[in-house]
Amino acid sequence: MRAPAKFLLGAFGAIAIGALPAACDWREFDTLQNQAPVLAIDSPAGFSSSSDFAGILLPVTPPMDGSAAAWFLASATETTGLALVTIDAAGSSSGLTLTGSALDDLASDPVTAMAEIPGTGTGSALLGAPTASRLLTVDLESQTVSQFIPASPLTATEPLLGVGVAVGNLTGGAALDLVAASNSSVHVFVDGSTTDIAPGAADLISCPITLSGQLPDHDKSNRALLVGNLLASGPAIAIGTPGAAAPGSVSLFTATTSAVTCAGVLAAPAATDTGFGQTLAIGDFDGDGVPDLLVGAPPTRVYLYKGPIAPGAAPTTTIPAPAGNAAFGSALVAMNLDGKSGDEALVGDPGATINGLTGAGNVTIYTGANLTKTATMATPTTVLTDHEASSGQAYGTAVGALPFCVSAPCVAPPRLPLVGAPNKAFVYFTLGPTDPRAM
Amino acid sequence: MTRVRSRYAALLLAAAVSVGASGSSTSARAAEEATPDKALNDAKEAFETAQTFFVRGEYDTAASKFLEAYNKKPYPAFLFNVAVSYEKAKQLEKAKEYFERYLQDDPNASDAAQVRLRLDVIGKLLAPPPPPVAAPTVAGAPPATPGTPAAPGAPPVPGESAPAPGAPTAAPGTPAAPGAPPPAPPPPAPVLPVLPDIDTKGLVVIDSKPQGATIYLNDKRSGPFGKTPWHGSLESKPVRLILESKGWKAEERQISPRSDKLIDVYIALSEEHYLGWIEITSNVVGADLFIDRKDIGAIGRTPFTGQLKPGKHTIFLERFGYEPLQEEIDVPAGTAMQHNLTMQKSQAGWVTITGKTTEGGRLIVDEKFGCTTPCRTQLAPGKHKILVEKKGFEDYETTVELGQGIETTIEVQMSPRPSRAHAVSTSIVALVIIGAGAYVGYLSDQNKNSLKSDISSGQLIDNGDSRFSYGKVEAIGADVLYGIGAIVAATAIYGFFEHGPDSTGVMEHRSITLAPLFGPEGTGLALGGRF
Repeated sequence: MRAPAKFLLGAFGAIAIGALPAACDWREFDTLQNQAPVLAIDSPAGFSSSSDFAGILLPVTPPMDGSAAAWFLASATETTGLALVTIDAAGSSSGLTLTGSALDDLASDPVTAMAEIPGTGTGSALLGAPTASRLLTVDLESQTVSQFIPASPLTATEPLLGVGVAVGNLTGGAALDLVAASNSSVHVFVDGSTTDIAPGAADLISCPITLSGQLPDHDKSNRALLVGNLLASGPAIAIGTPGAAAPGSVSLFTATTSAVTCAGVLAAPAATDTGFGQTLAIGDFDGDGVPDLLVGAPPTRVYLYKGPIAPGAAPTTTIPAPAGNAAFGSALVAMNLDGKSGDEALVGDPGATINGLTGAGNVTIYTGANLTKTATMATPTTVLTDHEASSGQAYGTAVGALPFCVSAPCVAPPRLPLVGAPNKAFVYFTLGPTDPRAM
Repeated sequence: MTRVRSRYAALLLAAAVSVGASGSSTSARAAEEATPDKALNDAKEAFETAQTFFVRGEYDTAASKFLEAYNKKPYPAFLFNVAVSYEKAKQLEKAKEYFERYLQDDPNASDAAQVRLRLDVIGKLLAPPPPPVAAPTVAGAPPATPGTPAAPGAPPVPGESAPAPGAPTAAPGTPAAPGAPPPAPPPPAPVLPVLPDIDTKGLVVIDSKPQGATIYLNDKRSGPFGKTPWHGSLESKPVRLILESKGWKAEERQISPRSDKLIDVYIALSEEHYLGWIEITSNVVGADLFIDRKDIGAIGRTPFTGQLKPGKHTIFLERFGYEPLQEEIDVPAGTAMQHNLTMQKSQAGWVTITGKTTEGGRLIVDEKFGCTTPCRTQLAPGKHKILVEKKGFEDYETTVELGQGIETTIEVQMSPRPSRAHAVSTSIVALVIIGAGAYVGYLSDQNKNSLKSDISSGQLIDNGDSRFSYGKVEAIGADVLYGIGAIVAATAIYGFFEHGPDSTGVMEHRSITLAPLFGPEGTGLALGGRF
């Protein structure tokens, strides 16, 4: 063999030997991908829009049979679109677009309010489609969506029925009470029945909840409504009423099996807080066992009212918007992230500018009894953003606390931050003391 | 016929050698003398006169002159010419007589057979015609008159035909009687043979002093032609005479024999006492003989005789199948020496490579250069590894078992080797592809390391990070490129090792043997081959 041939053969050999370690196993990327701290979820196949997917999120208690580690509902805000996203124990997700005649009857009106109906064992939720003034229920296990039809017709007199929904035990009955707000009232379906009770005219004067007609449509598509042990006397309904030009308020109602009564109002601390009451969240931030109320007043502040709430009281803490934020407080959730006593508050600002990207959005985490600290978690990260953020992404439009249960039976599962943007949902696995995924 | 042999007479006639002797020469040739034989001169004079008459068509006179020449020197050729002249003169009886005398004088003449055939024809022409067959008797029809046919002894002239068949044979004046029935047609006359044309013979007379010198024609390789004195006819074309006699200096002459000439060559050889005479014989007939130097080629073959300058000389004998022989001899002046050399059969064998495609190749025997092909090389008996190599061609390899005296001829057909250019270019392509694969793999690795670093440092990257997809695609791309590169590289490697059709060879073994040989010049061993 001639010298050039020997040289080339030698070169081949050297390259082959050198290339062996360089030979790439693309499966390593799959492994790494499964180890990614954040799970980004796109809209499932058949969803109405890939860019209007996770503007409204509802984490739901995982199924008791352990068939999924977590699941949540995601709804479009511009049209009818409802998806059930399931996450397995390894952290991989799968999505399913829910369909059915009840959704078809919405005639493209969106579902903009969702509340879990806990305790059913199969996962179910109450849905509100205010544009259509309809209420629906969904069974996650059977993936069935049904229309919830009140016994008395409400739509004729109350537009935007279902603009806010909540579930809780207000009346002390065996079953949970369903609560649905409209443009001007709130209805309690005692023990989940179709018969409702609502506040009387006097109560509505004491606790005004009528939305201003001058509010932008977005603010009238979903209003803050929750049920919790807010009062010293027991559970109450808290419903936010942001103002168009005037300061907003949060009205508190108590309920019995026969009446809904005004319990008081939390007025906006500042005259400029027109958005006061646009978002609400219940959490035990100081770890005293008494739920505290977090009231968002976007775009500038979030107020903490320590429980028990005394109507008319001033907020315990005011959390100002960090610099550069544009819609601070548009989404709120309370959850225990660090595993220590006291919940943390996640405050979404979908209009925040990130690295010069206007409207990229972020979520800021606050901790401590007065939510003054922002860096006490296992990771130093206190501001969540999309790693590959883009302008107008509106990351943080929705936030939630996603129960994640690796194995059944699921007792006190850890909750993971669930952040929504119109095009994606993000689940964070590593912000707590441990990564709960089964590796 | 008396031959004057005085040296004086020889010198006098030195310049007048012979008619027609080319290169006739000069007085410087002391050895050359005109014939001292007066009778021969007279005969030659008569011969030339006869030829003059023959050319004129006066054949009778020519015949008498040829006969006169014969009477001076009784060369059979003269009788032949007498017969030819008489035949031309239409005197077949005499022609027959002299042809017969010619055969009596020279029964072994080279043209004896033709002369006998001619005599047969002449005999038939001279024979009387057969008697006519009696025709049916017809009243009034007189019988043919006897004696009207041509008289016996008046044969047809050569070239003339017998009377035409059907020609009236009746004598003139004997017409058929009027009113008589026509006579029966005579039987057809027999067809007489025709004598082919003939010409006289030339004559060459070669004599020497001393007589008994060996005559060679043109060169000595064809062997001795005869010894002096010699006379006879030669073909009409120039020929070189070489006369050689032991103890005498060899002489050469150029002559041009003709059918109408008598060429008389008489050469007085001069004694050359300062030369030696050698006779070299060998057990191998036909071995090439070289004297003193081989570069001028062989001067003869065994057996060989010739003169040589006195002194020491080196004799080389070569013959394929035998060991070359070299021997020193001492040649004394004026003496004759005989050397009988014995050649030994070669102990070796030979390998011969032939074939047009081997031109310019190399024969490697047992990994040592043998010769530049096509060629023959001598090898020791036994097994040998043969390799014929040539640039641009596939090697031809074989093993031969050589025996003593065996020549193995291999007709090799070299097969062109495929070009390596394609393999080189393919290698480069493979290197580029593999290099690209390595680069893409490097990019993939960078993404992987970056992701690992981010994950381990707590960076909140999500599973949709573009590095996952890019890295994965790069990893797959790198693997694909590696795979393609490996395939191309394998193709390139195959190209380097690829060879064309094998060069082929047809082997033939030939045994060189000796056989006893008996010839007029002696005995010896002849070289032969068995295939």
